[in-house]
Amino acid sequence: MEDVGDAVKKYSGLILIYLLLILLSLISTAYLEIVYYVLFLMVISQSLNIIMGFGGLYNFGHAVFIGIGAYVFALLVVQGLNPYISMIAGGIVSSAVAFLIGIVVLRLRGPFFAICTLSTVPAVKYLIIGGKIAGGAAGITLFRYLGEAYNPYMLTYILLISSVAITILTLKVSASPLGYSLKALREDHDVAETSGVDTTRCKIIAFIISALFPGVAGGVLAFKIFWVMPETVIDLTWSIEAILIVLLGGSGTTIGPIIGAVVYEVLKDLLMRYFPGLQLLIFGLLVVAIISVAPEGIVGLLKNRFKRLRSFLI
Amino acid sequence: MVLLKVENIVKRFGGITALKDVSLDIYENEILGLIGPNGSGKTTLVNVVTGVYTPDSGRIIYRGRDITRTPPHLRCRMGIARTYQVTRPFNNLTVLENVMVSILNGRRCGKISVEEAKELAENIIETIGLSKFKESPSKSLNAQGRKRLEIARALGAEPELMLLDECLAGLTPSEISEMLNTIRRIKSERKITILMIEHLMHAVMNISDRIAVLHEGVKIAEGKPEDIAGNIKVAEVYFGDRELALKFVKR
Amino acid sequence: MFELVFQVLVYGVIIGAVYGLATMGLNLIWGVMRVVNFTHAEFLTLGAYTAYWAWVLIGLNPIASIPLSALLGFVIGIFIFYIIIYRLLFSPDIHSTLVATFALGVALAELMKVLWTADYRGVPWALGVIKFSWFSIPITYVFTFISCILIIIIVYFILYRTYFGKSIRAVIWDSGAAAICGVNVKATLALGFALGSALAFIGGSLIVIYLPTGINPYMGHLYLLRCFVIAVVGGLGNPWGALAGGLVLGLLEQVSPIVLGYIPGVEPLSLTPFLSFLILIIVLLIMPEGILGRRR
Repeated sequence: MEDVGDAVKKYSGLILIYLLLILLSLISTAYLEIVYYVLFLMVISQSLNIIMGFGGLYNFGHAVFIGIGAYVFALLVVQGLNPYISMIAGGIVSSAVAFLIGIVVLRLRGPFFAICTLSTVPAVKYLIIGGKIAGGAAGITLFRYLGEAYNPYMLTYILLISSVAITILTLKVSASPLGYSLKALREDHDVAETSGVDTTRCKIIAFIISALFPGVAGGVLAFKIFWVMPETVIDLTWSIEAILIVLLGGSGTTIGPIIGAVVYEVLKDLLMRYFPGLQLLIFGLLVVAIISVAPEGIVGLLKNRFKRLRSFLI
Repeated sequence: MVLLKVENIVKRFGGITALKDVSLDIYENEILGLIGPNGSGKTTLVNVVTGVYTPDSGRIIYRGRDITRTPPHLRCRMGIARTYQVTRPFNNLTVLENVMVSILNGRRCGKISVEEAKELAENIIETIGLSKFKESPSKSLNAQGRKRLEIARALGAEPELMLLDECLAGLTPSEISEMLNTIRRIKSERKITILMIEHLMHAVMNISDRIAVLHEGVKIAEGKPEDIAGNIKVAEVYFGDRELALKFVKR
Repeated sequence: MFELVFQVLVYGVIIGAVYGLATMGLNLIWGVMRVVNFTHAEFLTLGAYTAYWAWVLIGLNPIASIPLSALLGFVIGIFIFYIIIYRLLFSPDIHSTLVATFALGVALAELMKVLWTADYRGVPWALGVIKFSWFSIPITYVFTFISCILIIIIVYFILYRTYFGKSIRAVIWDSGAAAICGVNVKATLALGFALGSALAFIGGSLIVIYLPTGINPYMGHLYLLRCFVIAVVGGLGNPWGALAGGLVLGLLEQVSPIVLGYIPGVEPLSLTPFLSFLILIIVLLIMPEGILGRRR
């Protein structure tokens, strides 16, 4: 059993970052916006980390979970359901869909999994538009139902709670048999199998967990933009940003996506100020650089250079 | 009693038949050596037994149960563990974590906590002689370390049957006798049955209770080491020199 | 009715041939070095822009600009291979090349936006229409189809009659054995990647003929789904598989909107890509090696 001192030391990095974010959000509405985006990115990247960082499966279709959450939120709110319950419902449905997609798609390995999940993003969009589902291309507008209820602080704090929740979940998974199994199957799928790991079950569980909070975040997104349509809530950009943040921060670590989200948002803001229009170009090249020279991300770099920080970088 | 029964296994890969109607019995508490030239199907047989490959026909029976359709992870939990000829550690995990994986997913899957697994892993690593490296990433181990880790990881699953695939390849003579002693010790202390694929004649003749010989997917001989050494067919196929083979049998 | 069927078939084959050609590079690169080249979409786009600028600056029609596209594609391919791809081939993480090519693609798309803006551009090259008794077809489409056939013949020639082609096929089959036989594997991989890239550029140039106004930096993404479906259905390791897959998809895209039109309450043009996605999944699950791929 660790004593309280060790525990505090280990989690102090995390606690520090969250405290900073809370403080920042109280300064002004402009900062609130930034904190909102950082937390949104944190939630989706931390979730992706479970399947990508621990499980080694690059889910390019992660953005679909956000879209599902947004649509479920919209459909329920239109029926008169409380928006906050609708967000939770969005998360639950998103996980359910993850289960259904997972039993099919998780049989695929490596590049095939990436191709397939990448293709789900346009595919779901085409399905909604083509099948004229939930309003088709025009989507669902929510002004009538939510106009007065809009509270930016509430939305940001829901994201904060989600982020803390997924962080705690990540820590628990990492130290649990599931965590060991996932990391094993990431390293060598066949050897994991002959060592007793039920790879199918582990992958599906990880996939379901990874879909939960993006679903909730989708509901938050829908609440913020008031108009849910395929173009706005199913956006490959989030998949890309989530993958980038996980890689940037440190794939497979708990604090990695958190650091990654903060660094990414800061970089994005700086680039927008000094090199507008070039952000994606630079980020694209950045990812190539990370993959080539620092595949373990910021956490990896810090661990190698500053050995004393190791206990903080969980 | 017969622990594992390999019954008329046929395994084809496209145009090549790797295993042609192979049958084999492994008795409890014995060390069975499996020898044969390269490409004779030894590793394929191990892959079929562990469930990595599904045979085209034939059955695998473990303790009387037909496990031919059982998935690999369940076979491991039943008590069948293996090592890999070309070592395959979980690279980015530490030595300790490597062994913990099989403990948490082996015989005691679901019934053991992470702390207990860690203790057990430390014991196994001690037995195997890798304690110095327990927190090191497994990709940093040398050849002997990796071979030991393969065995440690197999032990983690608490198997009744261990399939060792050329665990002596690439070791120096002193490392080889260390490893053989370790294997003997493991076998007697933990009551494990062992199937050992090996090319080193003096080692396998020395340690095995019985030997089976595969050649081009066919079992051409099975019996005590002395008998195998004296077997004309085996000599023709493998040793080339019958007299030399007889010298290695030390019983 | 018969005219409709014939028209659909003809269009399907012609457009499918271009799709197939455009995707051949993807299959080839996977076959040679087991890399999924996610930059493929941007190579297509660059090929399209090459055709555009050739038209605007030199007055070359898209078919005449093929050699230019091929050359550019080849050079850029070699460049990218040596700078980025080669070192990642040996990384322990199998996803390195995938993520790197994807990120590179994003960067290239943005570069194009910076250089040429996101405005839609087009190459309005039209030569009129040939009318047969059963159907009519734009003359440009006919030339496109003929060019496709010619290029495919050239590729066949390269792969089966030159040393380079033989070494590529050897490396596809077994790179270790090829090395032992004296094949310079690194150079072969580089040339293979460059050939794949050149084919993508050519494909992009030809696709322009079907899109009078649709050239923009992100057009590659429209073809992303299509190319994957084609590549996987046809068989990833086999360049001819791309042609087979291309024909399948070309025909599907012509037939499906008509069939779906009979279902009330749906939008056939948007549902067709979804159908192709379903086919992608089914093929990936049942025969990941595709129609013409290697059976294990």
